Amino acid sequence: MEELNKLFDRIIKRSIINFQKFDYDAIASSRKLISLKQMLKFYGFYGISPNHPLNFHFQRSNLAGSYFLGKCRVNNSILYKSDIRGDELKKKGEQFRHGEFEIPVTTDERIDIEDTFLIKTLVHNFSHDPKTLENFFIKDTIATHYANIHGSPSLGCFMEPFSTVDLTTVRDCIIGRFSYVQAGEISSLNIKPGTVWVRSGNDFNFLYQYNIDDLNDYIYFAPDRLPQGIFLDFMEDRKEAFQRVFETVNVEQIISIPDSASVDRYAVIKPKTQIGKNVLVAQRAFIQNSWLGKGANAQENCFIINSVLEGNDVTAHGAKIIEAHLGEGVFVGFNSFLRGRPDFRLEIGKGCIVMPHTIIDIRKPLVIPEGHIVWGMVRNQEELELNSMPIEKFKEIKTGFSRGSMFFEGDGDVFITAFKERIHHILEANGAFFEDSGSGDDEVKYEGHAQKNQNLSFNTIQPYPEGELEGLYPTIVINP
Amino acid sequence: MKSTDIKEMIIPLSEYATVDEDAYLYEAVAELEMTHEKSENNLYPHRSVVILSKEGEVEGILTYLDVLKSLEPKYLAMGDVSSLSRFGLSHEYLKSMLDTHNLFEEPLDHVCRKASELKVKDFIRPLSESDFIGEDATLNELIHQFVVGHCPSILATRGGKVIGVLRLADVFHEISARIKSCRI
Repeated sequence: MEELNKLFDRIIKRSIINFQKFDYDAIASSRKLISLKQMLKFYGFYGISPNHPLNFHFQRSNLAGSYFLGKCRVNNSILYKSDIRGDELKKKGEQFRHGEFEIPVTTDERIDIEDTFLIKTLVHNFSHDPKTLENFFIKDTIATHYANIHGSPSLGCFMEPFSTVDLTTVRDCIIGRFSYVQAGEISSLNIKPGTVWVRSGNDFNFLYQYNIDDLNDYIYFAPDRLPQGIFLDFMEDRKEAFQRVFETVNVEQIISIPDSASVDRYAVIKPKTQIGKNVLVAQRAFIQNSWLGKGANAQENCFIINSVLEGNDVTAHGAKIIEAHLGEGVFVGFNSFLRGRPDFRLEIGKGCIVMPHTIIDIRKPLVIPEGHIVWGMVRNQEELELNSMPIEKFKEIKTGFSRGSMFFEGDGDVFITAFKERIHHILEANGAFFEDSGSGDDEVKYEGHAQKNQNLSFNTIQPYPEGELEGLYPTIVINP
Repeated sequence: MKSTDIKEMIIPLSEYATVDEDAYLYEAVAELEMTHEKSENNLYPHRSVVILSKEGEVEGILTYLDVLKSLEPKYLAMGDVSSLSRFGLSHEYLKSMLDTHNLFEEPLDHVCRKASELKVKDFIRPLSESDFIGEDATLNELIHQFVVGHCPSILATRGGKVIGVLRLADVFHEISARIKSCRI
């Protein structure tokens, strides 16, 4: 394992250079996260489909348990149980809109991962930076458990557990645990744990900061320690179910799935689950005793347990919904943790927006009325009143608003409209409207991931089993 | 810059303003004033009070800013307000918070009277690694820690135990003396 050790050392040392100015101990924060022996246990795998480009180049890397789709290069990197999902990359000939400009895409976009260490991280979407139109790069970056790198080229970043960068180019930054950043472009920032920041130029700026003591119960992370807290305990309790789907070649389908829906073979589906038309269940999603109505989706690392989603509900990457009833068209943002109890259910009304990285964890029944936007920490009615608002009222904000630890500057209407448009786009991309073409003819319209990802084949790739190169994958180039 | 040790700049804990964690704010303020009187010849009076546990361990540092923030309990509910401007919220918006959050709506005298009844442990910030430095550190290392830590004082340690306080003002005094002694 000599070479794998050297590679790990090289990645960590390169990354330190970027964090020195923050006095952040990246070495201590990285070295105990995963034993390198774990890197030998799992195979890497990639999807083959006529609907997506097939172009992989893996060199001097470890890809243990990681999944690849689309077009991707990995060099001098360690990717542990990560999903590199290139099914939304830009394609040659498309036009990329940036402000008033439309810029032609000249080659298929590629995810380019170099000198990087990813643990259980999701990489998805496409680069939103016009300066890197055909290259979604992730370099000199360390991303830890359940981080999301979504449409965000990253250079020299440390992402703590359950953090998300979304549609943002990130350079030389630390993203604290359970922080969510969607701000276009950031550099040289140390984002404190539990920061939820959504900014779009001068149009709007939303900021919420968790009380760190409250957040520590859910996710705690410190140098030389493994991440811990309710989030990790919750995932650990369900780890075995995933081991079964990853170890079995042919997973038996235990439920009936409509033709227009897609349930990934690397998802866990427990009994008494019902899947409606146009539903998408991505890999590493976990569904138990739940009803997913037409057009609902469960993206990577989502958990939906003992819950009902009436239809066209978005459960974004990493969100968890437990003992809850969601009306139609509810959006649950990245990594949100919504937990009712068997006797104290959580009800979320039609059309609600649950902001990314929201925690709703109740010990008494709670009803969120339809058409509300919710953010931050909600453990009871009092906190719901502090951290939510009717969407129509939010739209009336003209210059600014603040309440508790939430600060909003800008036009509320523009903010809500941007959110609604994005939710519509997510549903469309996931194939939720597949039957709603209304064309009346045989022409297929509004096809999305739920339809296109149905017939993926998977191939596995493995590292050297022993010797100096033990744990490293040979150079592999895969083309159509 | 020439590397110099920092031992001479350490103000021993016994000479610094300290109060027990159960002390009220007015006791901390009084203690601070007393040390000002005791050290009237000192160019830079102390600007913080060290908070000690019952066992004599350092629990935190109370700064001028902490005292001012304590006057308005609503700041506590807002989280880390000092970082807001880093996220691009405008000066105009930050100014408007005075009205939107009804900050300091009670007369200041009344607010101060209430604040004096607060216990210091309720609003001191927890200490982090960057609040400490070993007594053997160099002046360069100390300056760097002040720069990255944005704090007015750092606790000096010997064998893991806090032995005193290093103040930004004293570092500045040392540096300004060197600047003046330089020939142009």
